[in-house]
Parts: sequence; C-alpha cells; structure tokens
Amino acid sequence: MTGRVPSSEQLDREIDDFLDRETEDNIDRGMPPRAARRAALVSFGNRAIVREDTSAVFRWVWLDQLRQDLAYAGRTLGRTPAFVLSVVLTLGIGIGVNTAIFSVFNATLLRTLPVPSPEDLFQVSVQAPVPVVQRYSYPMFERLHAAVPATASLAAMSRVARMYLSSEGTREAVGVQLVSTGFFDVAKIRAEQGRFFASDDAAQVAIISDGYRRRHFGSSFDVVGRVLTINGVDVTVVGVASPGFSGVWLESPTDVWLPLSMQHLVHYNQNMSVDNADTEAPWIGQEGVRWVQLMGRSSDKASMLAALNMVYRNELLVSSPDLSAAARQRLLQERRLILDPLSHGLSNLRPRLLTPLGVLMGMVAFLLLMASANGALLLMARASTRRQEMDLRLSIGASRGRIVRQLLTESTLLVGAAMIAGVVFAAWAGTALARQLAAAGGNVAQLVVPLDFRVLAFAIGVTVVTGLLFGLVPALTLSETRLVNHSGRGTVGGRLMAKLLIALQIAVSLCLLVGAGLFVRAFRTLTETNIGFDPRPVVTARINPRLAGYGEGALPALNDRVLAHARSLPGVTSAALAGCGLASQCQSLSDVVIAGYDASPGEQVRFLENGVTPGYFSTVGMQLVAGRDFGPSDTDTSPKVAIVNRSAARTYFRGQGPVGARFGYDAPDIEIIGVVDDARVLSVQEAPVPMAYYPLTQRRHLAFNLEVRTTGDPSRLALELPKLLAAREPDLTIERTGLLSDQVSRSIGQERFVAVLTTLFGGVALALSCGGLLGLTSYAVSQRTPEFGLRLALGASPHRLLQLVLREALTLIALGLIAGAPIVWLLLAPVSRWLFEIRTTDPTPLAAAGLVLVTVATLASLVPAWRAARVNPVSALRMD
Amino acid sequence: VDLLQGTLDLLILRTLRTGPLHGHAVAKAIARGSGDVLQVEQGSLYPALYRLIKRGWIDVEEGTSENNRRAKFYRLTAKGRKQLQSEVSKWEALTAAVARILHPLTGEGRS
Repeated sequence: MTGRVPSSEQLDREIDDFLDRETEDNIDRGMPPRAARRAALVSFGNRAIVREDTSAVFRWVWLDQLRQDLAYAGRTLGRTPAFVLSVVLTLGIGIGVNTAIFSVFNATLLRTLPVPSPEDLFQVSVQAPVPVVQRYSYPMFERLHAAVPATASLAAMSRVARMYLSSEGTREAVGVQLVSTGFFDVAKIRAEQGRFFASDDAAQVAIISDGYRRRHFGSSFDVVGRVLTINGVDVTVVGVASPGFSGVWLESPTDVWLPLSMQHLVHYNQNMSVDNADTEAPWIGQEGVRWVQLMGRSSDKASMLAALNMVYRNELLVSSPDLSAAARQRLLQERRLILDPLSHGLSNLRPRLLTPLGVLMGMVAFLLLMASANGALLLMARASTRRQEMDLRLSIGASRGRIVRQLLTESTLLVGAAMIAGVVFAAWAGTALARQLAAAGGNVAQLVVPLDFRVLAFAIGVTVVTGLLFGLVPALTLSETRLVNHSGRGTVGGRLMAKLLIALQIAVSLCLLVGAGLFVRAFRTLTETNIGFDPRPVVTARINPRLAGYGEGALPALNDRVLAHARSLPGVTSAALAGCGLASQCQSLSDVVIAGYDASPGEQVRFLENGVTPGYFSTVGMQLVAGRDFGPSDTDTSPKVAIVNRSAARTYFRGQGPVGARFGYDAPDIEIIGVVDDARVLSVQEAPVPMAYYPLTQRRHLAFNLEVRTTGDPSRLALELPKLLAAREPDLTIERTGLLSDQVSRSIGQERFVAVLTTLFGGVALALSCGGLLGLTSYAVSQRTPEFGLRLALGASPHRLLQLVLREALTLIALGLIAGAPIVWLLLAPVSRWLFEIRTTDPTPLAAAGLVLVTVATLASLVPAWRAARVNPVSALRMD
Repeated sequence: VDLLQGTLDLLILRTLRTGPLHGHAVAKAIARGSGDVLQVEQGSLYPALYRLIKRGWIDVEEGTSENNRRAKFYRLTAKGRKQLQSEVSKWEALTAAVARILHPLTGEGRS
C-alpha cells in the first residue's frame, strides 16, 4: 500500500473538480449553466455514498461504523434512562436466574473434582438384585487393598462428620473425614505443606484443607506442628492439602482428615452396619462393623475389577457357609463388585436436586423467552416513536443493513448490560438457591457454587440467544419502513410481529402457570399428609453430653436432671429424650431376627430404630394403639423391651398381635410390649417403614434430642429452654433449639421453595403477557381513535366498539392458548411423573391455568376497550 | 452497456498507460475510447481509483491541468504496468474463449 492515503478533504475537492468539469462539458454541449450543473449532479449520483464507498477502500469500515454505532447508541439510550433500566432489569433478571440455576446444575452435575485425571477415580460398589449395604469393614478393605494390581490404588474413607474443633480458645464445628493412609495418593493430591499420612503414623495426626487453613489461621502460613483439639482429642497437624481440594463429598466439604485408626478416639459413629460386633470397641479391627467406603484409581478398570471380584467372591462364600450349592451359585452370579465413576464427587444432594433443577431450568428458560419477547415489544414500541428518524436516515441514503446494524448495536448494548447484571445476580443467587433447594432437616448443605468458565460460557450463550430474539426481530420489522408512507401508523409487519409476540407470551404463560399449579398442589399434598405426630406444641433441643465429657455412667443421672429442668418450666406438660430427633436426618437401621417369622432368601428384615424415655409418645403426640409405654422399671438391667410401629406389626406379625412377641439382633431376646401408630419420623415425604423403639436406658447414643411439650407459647419456650439448661448445666453442649414444627417444615423446604419459585415465575409470566396485551391494545385503540369516532358518528353503539376491541384481544388470547395447550399436554406427563402423587392425565391444572389466564388477560384488554367505547366522536374526528 | 465486473480496473489502467490523467478525464477517455458505448458509472469511479492506489498499481500526484486548475493526476506505476499486461492477456483469453462458445462453427472453420 502506498503511504499516501488520500484524506476525505482531498476526495471532496476531487469530487468538486469532477463536477465542475462535467458542468463545463455540459455547457459546451449547449446547456444553460444551471441545467448543466444539475445534470452533472444527477449523473454523479449520491455524493455521500460515493464518499463512503471510496473511503471504505482504505479503512476498516466495520470497525469505524461500530464506533459510530456505539457512540450513537450510547447517546440515544442515554436519553431514555427509564426504558434502559426496565429492559436491563427484565433481561438481567431473566439471564441471572437462568445462570444461577445453571450454576447449581454445574456445581452438582457437571463439575469434576479438582484432582488430576478425575475420570480415573471410582467408587467400589456392590451390585445386587436387592438393596445391600454399600460399606465395608476395615479388614475387608485390607484384603481388597492387598489384591489391587500395582497399576491401581485403593483407599478407604468414612463419611464427613461434623466434629467440634477447639484451638486457642475458640470452638467450632468442622467437617472431619477419616481416611486410610493412601487416600491422598489415590486422589493424586499434593501436599501444600508438610506431608500426608504415612503407614507408620502415630495415631494422633491430622491433615487440614487449604480452605480451612485460610479461614482459621489466616495469614500465618506455616501450620505444620500446630495442635488442634477435635472432639476433645489433641491432634498434630502434619500437612495441608493442595488449594481447592475439600474432599470428595460435594455438600460436605472436609476441613480436617484424620487416620481411620482414630475412629474410637473421636467418637465417630456414623454410617455403620453392625453384624455381631461391639460398636463401643474400636471399629478398625472388627469384621462385623461395616463403615468405610472405597475409593480407587485405575486407568485399567477391567483388571482392577477382576482382582477385586476375586477377593469379593471368596468373601461371599466364606460369609455364607451353610447355603446349598445352587443357592451359592446364584449368589455368586447375582452379586459382584462394580466401579462407579467418582469423577464428579459423591453427593446425597445430586438425586434430590436433579428433578427440581430440571424443572426450574425449563421454567426459567421459558421465562427468559417471555422477558425477551417483552423487551422486543418495548423496543418496538419505542421504535414507533423513532419512525421519523428511521425514515429520515433511509431517505438520505442509509442502507437497510446499516439501520438494522444500528438497532442491533443498541440492543446488544442493552443485552450486554443485562448480562453483567445477570452474572452479578447469579453469583449471589447460585449459592443461596443451592442451600434453599437442599434444605432438609436441620442440616444446611455447604455446597459451594462457583462461577467457573462453564457458567460464564452459559451466561454468554444465553445472552446471545436472548439478544437475537430481543434485538433482531424488532430491527428487521422496523427497517421495513416505507419511505413515502408517513402516516405514523405502524407498518403491517410490525403490528403482526407484535401480535405474534403477545400470542407467544400467552402460550408460555400458560405453560408456566400450569407448572406452578402442579408444584403448589404437590406441596399442598405434602402439608396435608398425616405425619403421625403433632409437632405444633413441641420444642426440640439437641444436646451433646459426650462432648461435655460425660461418661457412660453419668448419663442416666444427667438425663433425669435435664428432664426435670425442662418439666420445671411454666406451661410444660411433658418432656422426653430420644436418640434421634424427628425429621432431623438422623436415622439408625438394624437387621433383626423375629421369632416365628421366616424370612424368604435374600429378604432383609430390618427395623428403623430409636431409643426414647418414658412419655416420649405422648410428648410428640404419637398414639399408642396397643400394650403399654415404657416406664421407670425398664432399666439397663431389666429384661429388654421394645415398642414397634404399626408397619412393623402389619409386616412381620400378621395374624396375631405383636405384643408379647420377641425379636432381636442375633437372638430374639427383646420382648415387644406395645404398638404405636405409624409416623413419618424421617421426613414428610418418606412413608413409614417398620420401626422399633427401645427404652433409652437400654441403648447407647452419643447425642440426645430433648422434646418438650407445652400448653403455652412454644416459641417462648424455645427461648427459655436453652437459657435454663445453660444456667443449670453449664458444661452441657446445646447444639440447637427450635420448634419441632419448624424442623418438620424444613424437611419439606425444597418442595415449598420450588412451589414458591414456580408460583412467582407463573405470576411474572402472567404479568408480562397481560402487560404486553394491555400495551398493544391501548396502542391499537389510540391509533384507531379517529376511526372509532367516525363509527360512532355513523351510529355505531359504544357497546359495539367495546366488542370490536375485545374481539381482537380475545383472538390473541385464544391463539396463545391454542398454541400453548399442546405444549403443556406434551410436558405434563413427564413432569408429573417426577412429582409427588399427581395423576398425569388430570386436566384440572390446565383448565385452571387457562381460566386464570383468560380472566386476567380479558380484564387487561378491557381497560383500553372501555376507553375506545368512550371516544368522543367530535374530538376524535378533529384529530385527523 | 454495463461494464463487466472487474473490467473497470482494466480500463482505468489501460487509459492511464498513455500518461497521467485526472479523474474526470479518465471517465471521459473511457467513454470516448469506447465510442460512447461504455459509460463509467461515476459513483464507482472513485472507489475503483482508490482501490488501485491501495494495491499500488497507480499513484496520485498534485498537478496543474490544461486550464491552469489544480487537480489530482493519476499515474500508472511500474507494478501497475505489469498488472496491465497480465490483465490484458487474461482479458484476451477470456474474450477468445467466450467467442469460441458463441460462434462454434466459425471457430472450427478457421482452425
């Protein structure tokens, strides 16, 4: 390229020169000077275009024009801040809600663990035709570990338990996981500081996560050698895991890892399955306590699996020596170890979140569609006031493409701002949303919802789609302006497009309203479920005597004192202690043998169990239907007794009443003394299963739940109770106190939250579509005022005009309903299958949603219709 | 007659071979040279001239025209001269090929 790029002034001069010469030529041909000049100008054509085309040769035009477009868009938008704000908020919330829900989806289902090659990680599971215990004893782990080929590795781990950590005067609950020596090698995590566990470690050592180090030790980096006290046991920190790694359980980040050998010392007692073993003795050497899960790593899964199954088959044969040969053969065929991928981590939440997340993602996608359509309508409405500007620009030679681009630049700016607003919203809402969705019992999930590249890519993708819908449709319809027609009426294309957008909104609203109806009904069904106990007058508290250092022997006296304190409060009618609280996610299951009941092969005879003090049933409002309650005579030395629930009676004691019958763990040494009505003790959703209650004196539990019934105000009691306990038993740890009814309603927190959200979405959809309809109808009425005036003058009744306007609006509503109904019908079946006890073919939600939509939309269009009917013919006719 | 796509460049180069000319004269020369059959659309003249400058085939210089008016004169560069040769031979090959298709018999007879 030559360096001499001609400037635009030079070009101007040249064009002038050209025109002068052409004029002279024309004069030479005999034209009068004026006509000659005119002819020259005409033959030259549009000077501005020639100038732009010519300079286009040298410049990056699109960049240049982009700058122009941006500056122009900024100026134009700056003049209408209200419009900008409403569009950015509408779209921003739409994009933000979509991104937030996707970020939860991403955190639970898409994100892999922050370890090298996570795809090689797996969990060892038992595959069997019946549900089996997916845990292993430590000796079993050692045997499997010994068989693992050299190219693979295997580690054992407990669940993540909440334990109390005290250090330098502070005390807090932390997530603790017990792991075997090779855990970090399997995970392929490197030590940020210090080292990991070695096989010859003295028992009392700990590894902490980098996140915990940051939170707890702050700036002081070097923490190796520090001593922490966990559940009263001193441990020395020997290492820090690499940043970002907080274990393999998504919703329970691990702060501290301890060796498995510390199980007994720190009183870890979760997730075990006991089979002829002493749970009070250390678990690590016992074959009968199955409590660890196995995590492995191998790139050659087949050989790994073969090696593990060799050991497992042997194990099966040893554990069932008295089976017939055929039964053995079947057992070996039916059961085997499999490797489940662990690349995404373990989560109890994942299956619980899948359904609500899927439904919510669908709904918010619809909502964003509506928000875009609404934004497009706003843009079009605004554009109709810019028609003159468009006409002017088209007439001075702007191409249609250029105008479309200008409009697109404006909408892109708006959408871009909306995206930023949306991502900010999602950053805040993602974690909050995850916690609400996961809400159950008293456990708050600590799921971390990061905004990673995937979430940002999603936000950008959603924004682009939104932008196309929001920007392109109005831009295309707008640029269709005809040069001559300057009547101010919207183009036919614009009106049609607006109508289609309204019908689309109505159709989408219908879908969302039906969805909201379904979820609200599912939630109503839950709240109306008979849970079998009465939580309203009951206050529940969780106390932890072990942490306060109470030994086995001191517990009965402490229990009596705690109950006496509670009963001394005004209004309290009864108080009782229980091992597991109601709807608190605490559960204990045991396999039992029942005298006189022949289990079929492979059948698990299993009781859910709880230890309670006398008066528990009347305190929480459960009905004893046969036999007697526990009494003071049921002690740890008296004969073992139990009360079973109705489900147990129905399932295992068919025919004769269970009172007087016997069952037990190894031998039937427990006598049933009563039957209590079924109750949904785990959560409102879970149907009652066979259950046994034992006297607390005959059980050992680490933490106790105190249930107190009052005739007074339970919320006052909930405040007084912990104060009194703290005053009378200063060394006793009270973990939480609250209304039992709150605890129960928390267990349906997810359903309530989904119902509230979907109702909100449905309401917003309804408001958006009716707002759009109202706007469009009003606009049409204002455009047609002269026509209406004429009609009135010619003798039409106001009633007739009302009909005329309403008919148009109703056509749109009908169009939307006709488009929406089949979509709803298609979605109804799969969505309801997920939901709680709802028949798929029930047309009620559809009919109800349709009715609501028609009513509200008709009301919305009635306002402008009424205005049309009140048109004053004289002033209307003067308008034109 | 409308110009074929791309032929305007060739015509401008050919017109400038005889010496530097200003814009108006280029247009006139093309019209006159073709016996007023080809009318250069004036709107496309300047973009074409600038395109040729950008490619380095022509140059522009300030000068004084016949009636003592300052104007810009376009001049063929060495590179442009070479380009003209190749464009001319390409054009001739094209027209000969088109002619053979349009008049197959005459073509056969002559060879």
